[in-house]
Amino acid sequence: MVIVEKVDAYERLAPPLLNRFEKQVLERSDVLEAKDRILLERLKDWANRFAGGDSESWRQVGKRSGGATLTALRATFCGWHSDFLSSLLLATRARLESASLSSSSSSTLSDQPLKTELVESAAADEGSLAAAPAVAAAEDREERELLATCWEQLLWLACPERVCRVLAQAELAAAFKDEVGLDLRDVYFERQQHSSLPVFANTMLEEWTADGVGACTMVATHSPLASDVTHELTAECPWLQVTHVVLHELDQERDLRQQVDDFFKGAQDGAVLVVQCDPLGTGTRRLEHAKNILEKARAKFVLQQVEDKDKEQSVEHEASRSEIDAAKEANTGAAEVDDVNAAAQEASLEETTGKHASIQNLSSRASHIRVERLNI
Amino acid sequence: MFVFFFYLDALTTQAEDVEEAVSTTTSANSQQTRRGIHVVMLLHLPRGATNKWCASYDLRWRLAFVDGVHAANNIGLPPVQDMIGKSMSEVVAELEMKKVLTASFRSALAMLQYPSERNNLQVREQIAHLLSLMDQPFFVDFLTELVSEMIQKSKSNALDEASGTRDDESALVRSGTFQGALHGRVIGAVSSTLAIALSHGDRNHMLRLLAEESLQDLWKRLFLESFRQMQVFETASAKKNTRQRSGQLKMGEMVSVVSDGYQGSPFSAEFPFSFFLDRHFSSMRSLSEGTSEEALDKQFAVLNLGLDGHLEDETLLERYTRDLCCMHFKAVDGMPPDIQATLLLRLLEVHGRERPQTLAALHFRLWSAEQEAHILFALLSAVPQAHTPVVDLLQSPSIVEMNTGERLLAVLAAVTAALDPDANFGDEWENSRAGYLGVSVLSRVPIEVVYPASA
Repeated sequence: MVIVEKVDAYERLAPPLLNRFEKQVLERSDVLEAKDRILLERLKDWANRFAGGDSESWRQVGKRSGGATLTALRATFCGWHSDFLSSLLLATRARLESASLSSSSSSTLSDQPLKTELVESAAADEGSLAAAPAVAAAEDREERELLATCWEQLLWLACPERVCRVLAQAELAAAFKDEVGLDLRDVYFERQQHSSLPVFANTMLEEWTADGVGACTMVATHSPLASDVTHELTAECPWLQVTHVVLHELDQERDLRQQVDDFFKGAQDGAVLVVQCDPLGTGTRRLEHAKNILEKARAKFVLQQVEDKDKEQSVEHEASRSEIDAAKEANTGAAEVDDVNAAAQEASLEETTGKHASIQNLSSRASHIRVERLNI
Repeated sequence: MFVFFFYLDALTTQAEDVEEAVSTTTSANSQQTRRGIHVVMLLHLPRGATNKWCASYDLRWRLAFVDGVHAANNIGLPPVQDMIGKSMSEVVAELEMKKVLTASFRSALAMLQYPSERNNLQVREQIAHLLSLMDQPFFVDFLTELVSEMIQKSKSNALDEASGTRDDESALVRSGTFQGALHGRVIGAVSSTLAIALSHGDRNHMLRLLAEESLQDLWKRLFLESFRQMQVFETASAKKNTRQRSGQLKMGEMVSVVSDGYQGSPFSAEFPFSFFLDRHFSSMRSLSEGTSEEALDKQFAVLNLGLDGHLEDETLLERYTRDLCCMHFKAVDGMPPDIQATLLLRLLEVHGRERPQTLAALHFRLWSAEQEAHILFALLSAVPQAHTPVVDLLQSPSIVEMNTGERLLAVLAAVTAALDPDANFGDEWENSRAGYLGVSVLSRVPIEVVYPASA
């Protein structure tokens, strides 16, 4: 089985080679669930309205076909392509699910979302007809939440001039608020930070921290290539220690690997590695390759961090265990003291077990990364 | 663990200082708590079809679009979110005007069209002067108020962020960013209004007078009065609209700087907005010419410009006389403007038997001495050799006792004496010819001037 990217198959590979195989096209949209396909249509519809600009035009052209051309969509959402929304939907659903799983596993109190409670109560009372509307309402609420989250993510890649044009059409902006549930002005211009890289870095890097390490972001801009990125970032965010790499100035892959490894070796809190890329100068393949190198180095670093912490905690645990044993031997304390120690021991053990679980998660994630890379 | 103590004395410390100290500590604390090791891939994408980048969402990377790499507050302009849904005047009201004016005054200067060609040195001096003025809060405040007022009145300087880039897609390409395009509009509005203000302020090169601290208040007061009374902004806007409608506004917006010198010739004024005062006095001439200096002064006082009556600073009167001389009379060849102004002042003094003390007195006497001064300066222009003898003649005490005819004859005698062939002419035929021209000028003088009916 040979897996290649669609673009390569169409544009790079020789037809005689392709003719030797039976070919199947697998896109992200093909792996969507049925309920997600409906959501995808809604997303497409609104993306078309968003990029169409003129509210009259999308009305006349019709909802299904939309009115926006590919050029308009690409001008509206940076990096738009035919499978763009499918990837958004898949990633957002996965992110929401993992967030709800982690919150349900970590929380001891009943702080889960209302929808989960509703679903559970409905499931517990299967025979009851009255539960059906509750389930439907919970599902609807879940869909609305997913749609809003998708749009929040999508707006992160929207260009401000297009957002302003939508805002200028009060009717369209109001319809967007009604159907998607987001106040466009509030989300784009108040909650999200699009004005400049330093402003974005000042707030979002910490907010987007993942794996307990830090944020991993691709920031696109139409701004001309600037050489003073480090100065700009440190002027606005003095807490940052910026390492700046310009991709098209590197001669070899080894240079990038070296710089990335050096960064992660000495990285401390507040360190930022900025890899500046000019797709015209480097090409998209090189860009993807650099992204892969960064991913690998970061995953390695995350794993190393967890292992180090685990070792530290094992040492601490051993030390506390020996202390407890010594205390037991002395056996001078009251039974209450023993209880307290036992509780501490249990807590410590639970913590260690949790860390082991997180290592396993990370390992599985790392393997998942490798598998995904192969698929791509 | 570190503990940071602030010792505050309630008697000597202001409440604002305490709040600031607390806020500084809080922000420093928040900066300290920043955590994380971050990776950012910054993609500088081209606009349009050349952009081939395709984004795909996954669980590892977060995707974002930022408008620019540089923070907006470095140049005194607001970020995009602070401009959305606001009018241009609202945005301008929140600008750091010192930074914005410093950034935009060069483009404003480039819009000015002076009546005479200026060399690089003059332009450099003007820029240096304006830069030094930008460091003075009074000037920045003054311009801020003026520019804000003009932008508020203006209809063409709308900040329509939605259609701003639709009309002119090239603005986005030029600026690179949407924020840059909006900033370009703001800077454009400030520059164009600033150009109008500078065109009025630098009329007759009056901007350099702001370097003198004693003149600053008078300059500002007369600027505002003249700017509003003469409707400078409205006139400039109307001209611009007319040119826009007729399609002539292709080569950029230009604002003419007027010169009020004799027959439009350029001159450097010594008194702030002397042309404005001269216009007012000219408008009063038909009513006041036959009355008295006091009546004219009272009429001038109605304007409430604060320049009626005796001027505290006597040098102001001399400065004003110099400007009057430049505005009403042709420059005498080979004679410095200051000497010419001194001659005029002496002539006006002779006409009133005493030195004029008010601006009204200056104008009142000028009306009666205007023709005589024209003849005098024409003669001096024609016969440069006669400058010294004529100046000496007019400075002599005996001249006060003469009437107009006698004075002109005495001047003519001095001129003809300077034209004496035995005098040191040499073979300079041109000089002789100029002398004859001077006599011919005098020969064209109406007899009534030389021998008034009263004489």
